Amino acid sequence: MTGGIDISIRPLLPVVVLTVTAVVVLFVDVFSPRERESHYGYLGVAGIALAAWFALGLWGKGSLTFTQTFITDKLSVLTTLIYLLIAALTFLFSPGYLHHEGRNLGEYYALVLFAVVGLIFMTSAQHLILFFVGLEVLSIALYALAGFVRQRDLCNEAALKYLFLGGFSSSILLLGLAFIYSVTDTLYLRGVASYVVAHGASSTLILGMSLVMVGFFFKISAAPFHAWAPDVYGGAPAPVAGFMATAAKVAVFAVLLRFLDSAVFPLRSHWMAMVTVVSVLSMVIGNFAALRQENIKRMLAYSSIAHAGYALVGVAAASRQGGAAVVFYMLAYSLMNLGAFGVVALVGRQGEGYVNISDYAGLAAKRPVLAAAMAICLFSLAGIPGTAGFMGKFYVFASGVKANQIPLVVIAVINSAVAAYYYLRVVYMMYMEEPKEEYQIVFHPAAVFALLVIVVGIFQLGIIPGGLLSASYSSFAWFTF
Amino acid sequence: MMVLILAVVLIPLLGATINGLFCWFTKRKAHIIAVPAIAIPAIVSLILLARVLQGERFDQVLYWWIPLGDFRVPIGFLLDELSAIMITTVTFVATWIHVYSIGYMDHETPRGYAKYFCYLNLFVFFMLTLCLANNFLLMFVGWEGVGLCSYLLIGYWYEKASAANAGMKAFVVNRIGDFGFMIGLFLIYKHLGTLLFSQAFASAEQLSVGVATLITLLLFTGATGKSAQIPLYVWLPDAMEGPTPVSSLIHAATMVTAGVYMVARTHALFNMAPLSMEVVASIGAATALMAATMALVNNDLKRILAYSTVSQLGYMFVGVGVGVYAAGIFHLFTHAFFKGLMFLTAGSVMHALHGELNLQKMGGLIKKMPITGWTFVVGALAIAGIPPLAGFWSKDEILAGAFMGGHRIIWAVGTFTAFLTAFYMFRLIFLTFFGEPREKHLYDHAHESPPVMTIPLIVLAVGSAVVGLLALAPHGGIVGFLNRTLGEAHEAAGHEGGLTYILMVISVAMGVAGVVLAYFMYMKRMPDPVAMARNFRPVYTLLYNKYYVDEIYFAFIVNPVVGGSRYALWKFVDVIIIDGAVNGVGRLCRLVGGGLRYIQTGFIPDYAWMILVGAVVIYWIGRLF
Amino acid sequence: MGVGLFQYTVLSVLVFLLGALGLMIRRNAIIMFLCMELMLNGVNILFMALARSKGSVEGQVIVLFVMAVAAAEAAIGMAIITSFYRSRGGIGVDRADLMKW
Repeated sequence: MTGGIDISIRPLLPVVVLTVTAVVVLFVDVFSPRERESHYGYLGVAGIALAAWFALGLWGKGSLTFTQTFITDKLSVLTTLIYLLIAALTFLFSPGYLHHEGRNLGEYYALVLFAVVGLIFMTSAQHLILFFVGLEVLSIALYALAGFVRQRDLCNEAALKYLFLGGFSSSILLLGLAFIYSVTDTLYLRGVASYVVAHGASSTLILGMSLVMVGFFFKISAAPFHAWAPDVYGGAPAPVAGFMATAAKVAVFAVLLRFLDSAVFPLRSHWMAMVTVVSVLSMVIGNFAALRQENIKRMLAYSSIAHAGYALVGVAAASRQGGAAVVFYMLAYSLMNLGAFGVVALVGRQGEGYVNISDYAGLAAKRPVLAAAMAICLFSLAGIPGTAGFMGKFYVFASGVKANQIPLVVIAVINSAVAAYYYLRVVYMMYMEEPKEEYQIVFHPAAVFALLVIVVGIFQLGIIPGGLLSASYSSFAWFTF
Repeated sequence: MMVLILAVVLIPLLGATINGLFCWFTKRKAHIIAVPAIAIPAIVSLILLARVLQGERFDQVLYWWIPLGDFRVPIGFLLDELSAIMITTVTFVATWIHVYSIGYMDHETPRGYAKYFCYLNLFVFFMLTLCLANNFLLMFVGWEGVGLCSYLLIGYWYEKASAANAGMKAFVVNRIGDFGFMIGLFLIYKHLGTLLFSQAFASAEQLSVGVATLITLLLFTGATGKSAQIPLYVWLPDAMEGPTPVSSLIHAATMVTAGVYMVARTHALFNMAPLSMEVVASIGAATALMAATMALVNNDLKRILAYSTVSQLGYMFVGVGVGVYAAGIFHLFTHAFFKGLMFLTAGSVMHALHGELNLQKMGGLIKKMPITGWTFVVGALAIAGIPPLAGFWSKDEILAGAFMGGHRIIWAVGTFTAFLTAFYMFRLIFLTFFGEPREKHLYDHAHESPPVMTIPLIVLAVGSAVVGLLALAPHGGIVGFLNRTLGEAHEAAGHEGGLTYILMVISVAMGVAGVVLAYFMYMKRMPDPVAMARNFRPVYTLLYNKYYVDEIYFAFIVNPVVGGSRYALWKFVDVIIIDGAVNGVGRLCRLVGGGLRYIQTGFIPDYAWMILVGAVVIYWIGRLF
Repeated sequence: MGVGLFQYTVLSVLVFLLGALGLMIRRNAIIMFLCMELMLNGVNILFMALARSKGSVEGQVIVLFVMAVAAAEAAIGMAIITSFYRSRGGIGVDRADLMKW
């Protein structure tokens, strides 16, 4: 970094590997006969594994390259590994699902891989325009994925809604960036920070910051910017819904923490108020609306709104501990949500004809393994002790208490009690009701393997969370929090 | 060393996991997993013990379970002289009880069989965790874990109402004790700022006597629950509803001694609180005497042994209470052998007599089942304190410690209890194994148990006979070994030649007297026990009804609580107020939820409006603060 | 009175709001999509004006990025709208009403 442009390739290796894999998958798709379709997923998983290997090699070797726009620190490496895990699990769930829909095409896997590239750029960006580009790479891939099963009306509707509302919120975010730029003369995070330290707040700056945060809140489906989520998750193919609900949320939370810390930390009295209000609204709206849902995908969508609210408690703590807790929470949330959507994909069967909660009646009697996996994911979502969801909530709320956000934590705890109702309703349905039909579910071994990984992960994080927690704690070592 | 310790703790867990998850596969073969899962740790424990003998020690945090800022929950192990003795005892006795169970649980359903071994392994895992923990929290995890396994195993035959109730009773009574233990833990964390034993004990001297007394009494409350002392002993006799090997392992040899272990482990705190020590010793002595008297007239084979366990636990508390911690642990060690043995022989008798437990229906069984009979005699001689068997050495250490420490009354109670112990044990032997058979058909069908059951009996009988001799080993024997960690509260407890021998002779004389009296009463019928019972009817009735303690608890605690709960809490507070409120809130929630849904119009422009309005609100809030 | 930064800012915000308003009151998916482009271009004007007045290239580079992003979005957007048209027989967004509540 002595004057010249540092273009060391090492920090980019995971991204390069993913891009190359995506391109290879596209080419293989073009040049291979239809019956070899199921191999794209495994090819993708191999690419992900290689990328993960390179990413692991970057752990602890911080670097700041490409004219100081691309940072590789522990936070970015840790989140990169989480995205790769999410993508791999999605790849395990997808082939069986897509095969039934007759849409098991190479571009699906390529799009997911491109989305992960976007995610990595978002979290590694030290310049806000690089972040914006990463966000758009992600969003464009997700628009296409949401409508991937294009013969299904619901998918088209989901894609259309996501396209317009996503574009709308991106524009708002971009306007916010322009306002920040107009005040600070730069969009480097450090540059913004040094301006803010030197000059303090101005109303244009706060306006810019709020608009940027609206963009963030939209992507994590926090209320009142959540309205798209139930419709899009409800309409999108279940594996895609799982991917959208988890990967994007992890990334945007990481970026949110990075932005709030590296750029606008001195304005914390302003943004803490915003985060607190949004957190409360998300928890309340998400949980209460979920109570009355009959469609399990919509129920999970509302629950993901509520979970965004819980995680925002950790952000509102504005502390290193809170940051670590949020990252931990996001991984826990990703596992249990992917598991739930994975089961939904299996139970939904062709055309997703069985996505109502009443379709789960007596599942335990007919498909005990599937029901058990679903029950574990739902217990974890509800925050039952021993599961990842409990530990995540515990850390987040503990950091909130420590930061003296007592009223917020009280609201969060009350909300998680309310939430137990709608999760356990599904468990009740599966275990206590009489089965109404034979469950003609085709098991795909890859999907079962993915469920196994998720269940083990949920218990691992729920019982021995120390390793991950200290990793995420150390990834906030640079925080000014 | 760390690897070995982890192996000791984790192998039983592995065994439990395999049998738990794959019970549909292991079924009848469950013991192939379960027995090695304990036998290997037993061997490893011996290696560890040998290394501790050479002066090695292990105290390390392996894993920070919740590393969150300054509140950190450790998982770590401590291996010193005390825990080495504990794990060796636990794994050794458990191994043979596992072997014995193969024969005893023969008639169970295949799944029940696997389930049984799963619980048993799990129990050993928690017990070892308890013994090896290097901090209060992990110890508490083990403590609760063994309680859970005990509850599951007491209620193993849960179709039987009495078994299910006994499990419930054990659980509830233990909860009361655990509550005290937990508050004690909080206080320790509050005042010492750490949960690690090493740090807590090093800074124990900072505690004021008042706080130390409070903490230790709370800890002791936990111990009275787990180790069945006054006033919380009532669950143990009922716990005999479980399978007999369970009674042997959990309710005689290991789990119930956890309270004694805990007191010895926290001796640094107890040393700070002389009053608590007095309380521990007095409760121990009172329990020893009371339980022994209840055993005098009981006719149920297993219940007599249960009262005897309560009584012997009382001795152990006397030991730790008067400050001779090593003697208390030594008695725990020998007791594990002879009481484990006696329960297994009782199981063997039950096995032969199709579950019959009433002494009055037995008699003369020694001819039919010689191994069972004679091994029981060895155990009884050991508990009666006849030299050179195990019980003599450890009991003598405790009584000598009490006497030297100036606790003359406690010594007298203990010595008298030794007499009662010898008497009721030999009453049991004479009624069961000697004399004429009183129920002909029971006797005719009796048979010796298979070798898989008798070999453990023989091993434990040999153990009961010889382990006491460890007291004579060089460097102060086992007591000297334990004292390397435990220290002696009173220097006076050292041996003072002549006086020691006089005390020893007195206690042996008491034991012999008990045996002789039992012989005359139950073999020669002079004085005739039936006439005695008639002549001392009030005393007999009182003892026979166990001092009416259960009835008193029912009348004054259980019924008011249950009745109060039912009428005041359930019928009124619960049904009307809480249910009303909960249902009301639930209804309100669903109503609100129903309303909120209608924000969701499904129309893109509406959503865009929401975002824009939200953006303005967010900006306004940001400006406001 | 010359045309300065202030005038450009007002212009860009107006263009942005025009786009936002269009997205919120029109029903035709193509028009709505154009309105979205209008929002982005409104921001582009602001970036250009800022870059000129500050004499920095950062803003100009940003505009190039935004244009590339907008192009990609247009491609995927048109594909989605086409697909929607096929399944519903029209491009009025009020036809997207399968999911609500």
